[in-house]
Amino acid sequence: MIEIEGLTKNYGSFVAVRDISFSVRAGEVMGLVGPNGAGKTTTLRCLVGIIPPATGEIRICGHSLKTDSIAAKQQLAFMPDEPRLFDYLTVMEHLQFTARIYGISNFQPTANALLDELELRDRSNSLPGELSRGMKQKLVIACGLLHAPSVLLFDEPLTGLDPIGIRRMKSTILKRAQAGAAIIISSHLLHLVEELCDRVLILNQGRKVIHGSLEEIKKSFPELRGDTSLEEMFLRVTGHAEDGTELK
Amino acid sequence: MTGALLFYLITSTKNRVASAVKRLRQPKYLISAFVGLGYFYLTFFRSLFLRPSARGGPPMPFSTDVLPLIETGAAILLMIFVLLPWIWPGRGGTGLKFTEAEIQFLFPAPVSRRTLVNFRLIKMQLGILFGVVLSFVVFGRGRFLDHPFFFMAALWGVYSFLGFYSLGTHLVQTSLAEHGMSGFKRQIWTLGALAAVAVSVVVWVKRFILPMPQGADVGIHEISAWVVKVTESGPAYYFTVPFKILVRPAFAADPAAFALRFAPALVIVALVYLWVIYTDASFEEASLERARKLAARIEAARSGNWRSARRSAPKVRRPLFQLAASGFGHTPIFWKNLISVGRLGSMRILPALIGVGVALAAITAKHQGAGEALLMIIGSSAAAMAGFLTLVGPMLIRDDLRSDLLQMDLLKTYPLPGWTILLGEVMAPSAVLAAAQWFLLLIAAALIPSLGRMHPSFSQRVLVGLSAALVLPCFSMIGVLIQNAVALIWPGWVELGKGNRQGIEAMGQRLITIVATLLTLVVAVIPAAIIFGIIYFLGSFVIGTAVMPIAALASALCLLAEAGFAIMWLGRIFDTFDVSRS
Repeated sequence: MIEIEGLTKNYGSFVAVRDISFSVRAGEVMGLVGPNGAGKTTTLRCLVGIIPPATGEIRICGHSLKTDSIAAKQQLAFMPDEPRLFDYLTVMEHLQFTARIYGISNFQPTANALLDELELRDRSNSLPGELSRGMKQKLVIACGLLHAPSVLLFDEPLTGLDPIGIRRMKSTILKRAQAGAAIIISSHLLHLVEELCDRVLILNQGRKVIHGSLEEIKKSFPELRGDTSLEEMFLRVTGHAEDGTELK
Repeated sequence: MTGALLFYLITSTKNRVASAVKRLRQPKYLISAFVGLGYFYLTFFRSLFLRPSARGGPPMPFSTDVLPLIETGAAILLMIFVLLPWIWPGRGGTGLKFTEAEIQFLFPAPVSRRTLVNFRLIKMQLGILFGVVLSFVVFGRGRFLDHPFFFMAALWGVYSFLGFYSLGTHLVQTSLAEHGMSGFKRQIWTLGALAAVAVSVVVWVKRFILPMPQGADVGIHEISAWVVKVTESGPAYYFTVPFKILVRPAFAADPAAFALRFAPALVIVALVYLWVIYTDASFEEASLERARKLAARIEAARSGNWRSARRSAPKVRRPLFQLAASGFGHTPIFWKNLISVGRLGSMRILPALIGVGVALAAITAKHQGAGEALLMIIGSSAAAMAGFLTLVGPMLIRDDLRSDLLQMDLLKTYPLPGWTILLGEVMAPSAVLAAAQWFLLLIAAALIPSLGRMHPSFSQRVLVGLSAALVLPCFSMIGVLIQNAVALIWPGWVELGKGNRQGIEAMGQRLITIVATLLTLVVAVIPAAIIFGIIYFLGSFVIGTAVMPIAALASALCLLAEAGFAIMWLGRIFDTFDVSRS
């Protein structure tokens, strides 16, 4: 579903992402983690075609993002950490607009179901200015899920959500994965990644440090205990002690 | 504590200036700054450095006949400013403005209320001093005054008085509201008091002062003397004297007179200051709300969403048409942007301009006393407006890529080719402008019975109107495309992006962009103008002026072809647009 080969992105002389390769299969949830400035958001933005990579190949459901971007984007949905909405479109108009962009002929039943699922039904005629941050986040998610994408990319998906919203979001992600979507979640909430993800990719300073299932990652650190958490592994691979101080 | 606050004020100002200077290292800001400074110099400062003869003669101070009238007028204006918040709720003082950071750091800190108020008043002084210099530069640069310094000092007094008064009023009104006295009750009391004042003045004038001189031989001297007599005696004197005290130092003849006049003005400013300091009304809650709104506006402006930063929240209205479930890819973008025009009101200016035009026409017609003149004025105003919209409309209506570039992350994820998005983006402003132009041209063609010595027949007016209706919308579309091209190719040069809207260089950027846009527009229009000229010249031998719409159609097609090529080209740029580099 998602295949990345030799992805590199630089801003002038600064290399944000250096030669990263990985793939995410259908039905798999991959966690993308790393310290601030590790290159997570840059990677995600390259994956959805917001910024062009300097080098490397990105394929979404077999379509090259470079040469067949329209077909690739048709399969994609990106949920950024900061909800960006059109100030002057209501909730329902956002869904109507998105449906038309993605060519969904009968969007209303799906839209209503999503609004119910995300508890936005009673705000369908509200403008973004009248919504809380969490509601805006939910609307972005509703727009993203409307065209039943095969590939879902979440950047900090729980930001701004209340406890019920968090529970629903987790359930939504797992439901889409069970339905066969390939999902990448970028987050600093390592317990969320541990709970939802089948595999984890840890980035540090633009480089891939480790990639695999939690078990595989644990096996690469034989000195760690069996019940070691992702947080402890994260600290270890990014060169930090258990109290968070940097190791020389 | 005062030391810490002063440190904050000085350091913030210093860093702000430093960051503005640092920005000048980038050539685009440096060039823009030069252009902005040049504009300022040529417009306002040039005359300061020229000899009197070169700047149009020596200073022309106000004559002593007019001065009392000016003083009285300024005092009455000041009195209106003072009364306004009590008569018109909502036009009151702005209260104590603190930024969110100031609230976060200072409100929980061991700082007394008085220190906080003083801190705010000192910050206000920075704005007042800038306002004084700006007012001095803009209003005559001392040309009408013997002593510009006296004028500046008096302006400082007036601005400080108004600033302090504004704060005090807000605090008192807040306190009154907390004690159950609503805005309506305040209004009743104020209007009652004002009515009593007006009655007392009228009675006084009727009984003790002669009526205002009237007649052909009455000049400014007589009227001035009468006004001064009214305000220098009876109740009017007492009501206007504090305001006269504040404005009089501006017109002092010599330093001694200035000192005598400025001292009482300072006393008034000091009294208002003490009133603010000792007013026992809480301001924290109102400041919090104001800071939240201000922060939201700043955040919107910093993220480039300058429209949200400036405007009030849009209202939900029905879209102009329902978006069909399937169809062309550009239609949803067009639909979305048309909603934006309707809800954010880019065209609100048009009814206002038409209203002004009609009002002017009515006034002029009244004087000329002829219905035909009214029709001619309305018709020619509509024609002029159509021309104005053609040139300026593309800069005014920005519901296209200029707004949507802020949502580039989202646009780039859409499964649409770049040219489709570009087409959808430019369609809304072009369509709105076309509709406005057609409406105005219809009025013009129907109502202009004559233009100076020309008396076009109905058929001639239809021919010209039809030709203009064909060409002007295409012309506007080219203008909209140029604006979008600038936004896409040089996003830093349009009003997008972070914090690039303030300062001299921002003004310079705007000037450069406007000039470049007009030049490109002229170049783009040349082929269409040549085609029009050739067809009209050759066709007029065969069918006379009836060829005009045919020539217009051909040049419109030429402009549309240019637009088509431009959209395809810009579409390719859009496809390779790198958000991270812009």
